[in-house]
Amino acid sequence: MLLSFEDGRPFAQGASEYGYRPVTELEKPPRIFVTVKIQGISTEAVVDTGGVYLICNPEIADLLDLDPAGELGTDKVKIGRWGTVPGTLHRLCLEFLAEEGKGLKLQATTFVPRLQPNELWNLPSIMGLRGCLHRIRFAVDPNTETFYFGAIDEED
Amino acid sequence: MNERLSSDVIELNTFLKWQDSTTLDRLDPSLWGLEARKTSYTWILLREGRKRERWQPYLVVATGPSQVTVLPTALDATEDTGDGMAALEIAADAGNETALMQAASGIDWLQRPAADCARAVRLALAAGAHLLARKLATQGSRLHPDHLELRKMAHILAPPRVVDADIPPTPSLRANQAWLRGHGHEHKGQWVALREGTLLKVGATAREVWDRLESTDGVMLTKVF
Repeated sequence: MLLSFEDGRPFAQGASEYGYRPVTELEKPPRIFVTVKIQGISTEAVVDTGGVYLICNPEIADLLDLDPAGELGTDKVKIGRWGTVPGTLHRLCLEFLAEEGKGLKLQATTFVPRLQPNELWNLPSIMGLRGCLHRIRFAVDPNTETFYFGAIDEED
Repeated sequence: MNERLSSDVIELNTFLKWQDSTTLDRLDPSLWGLEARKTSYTWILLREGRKRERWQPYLVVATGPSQVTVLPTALDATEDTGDGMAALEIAADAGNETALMQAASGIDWLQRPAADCARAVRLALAAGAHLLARKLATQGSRLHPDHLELRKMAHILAPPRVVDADIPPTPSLRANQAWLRGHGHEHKGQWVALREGTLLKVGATAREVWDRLESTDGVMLTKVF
């Protein structure tokens, strides 16, 4: 069952099961892994309420054949906990997939880290609150590991 | 510069920011998982400049409880030509978002060329002032609508926007999550391609797995951590 406000307006329009596990072997606290599509490719992304932008795993970005003309190349961007990282900024589509209800797609600022040769980015894609998630409502039910999401109306 | 700065010290601010377990400020994964850590931040104190006035470099930089940091010569605020851009550079170099916002608000952007607006956006990004970067990009593109870089910056940094809220459901998601719960540990560190709870391909890189798929329809590609 999806969530609603008292007046009947939907809080969430869709829901899906999420994964709950650490991001790396060295990190103990589990994170919320949500199945999403980044520019059409289905993958997982971690919810990071302290983060900024959508950070796209560079290996996924490599599959997207992103147009260099549409990117904002930067020497360095300060990305919260990951410090200052070189990379490029893009405007990509992020789609939340629903098992129940309707999915939704948004355009969001997306950062793709630029790796040095033989350097590994050993992290999943990450959805930060600022610049990515803050135009959707979301909630989790830890009991059923369900991620609820809904679009925020433009006038809200 | 330092004599000038010391004579203009008004206040020396240092604060500590406690970070909870959801904030991991370093690249070094060995440090992850710490429940709390305190971080010393650098403060720059700037006298707020008035628009269209020559910027007066009242500035001090400090890190830690009692330490005064000498700014790089290249960023000497006394070299400011009166447009405020040097103050912006200094604040960005110190990674001080508050000072950066103060410096940006003291600049008369109507009088600045498009290149300065674009430079300011880059400085804000480098300092982690993402909302300021967005604001400067939006403002710059309005002031200079023909400047391609500013237009691109404004487009890329715009707030997220829902473009489709009526996408049919995808019932197979649960099966993929069930597979990851049951078998993920067998493929740690590898990329896997799943379809409706069935493992299609495994590989060391996303490209290796993707290129070996006969069809990518309905496939979820993820790395197992």
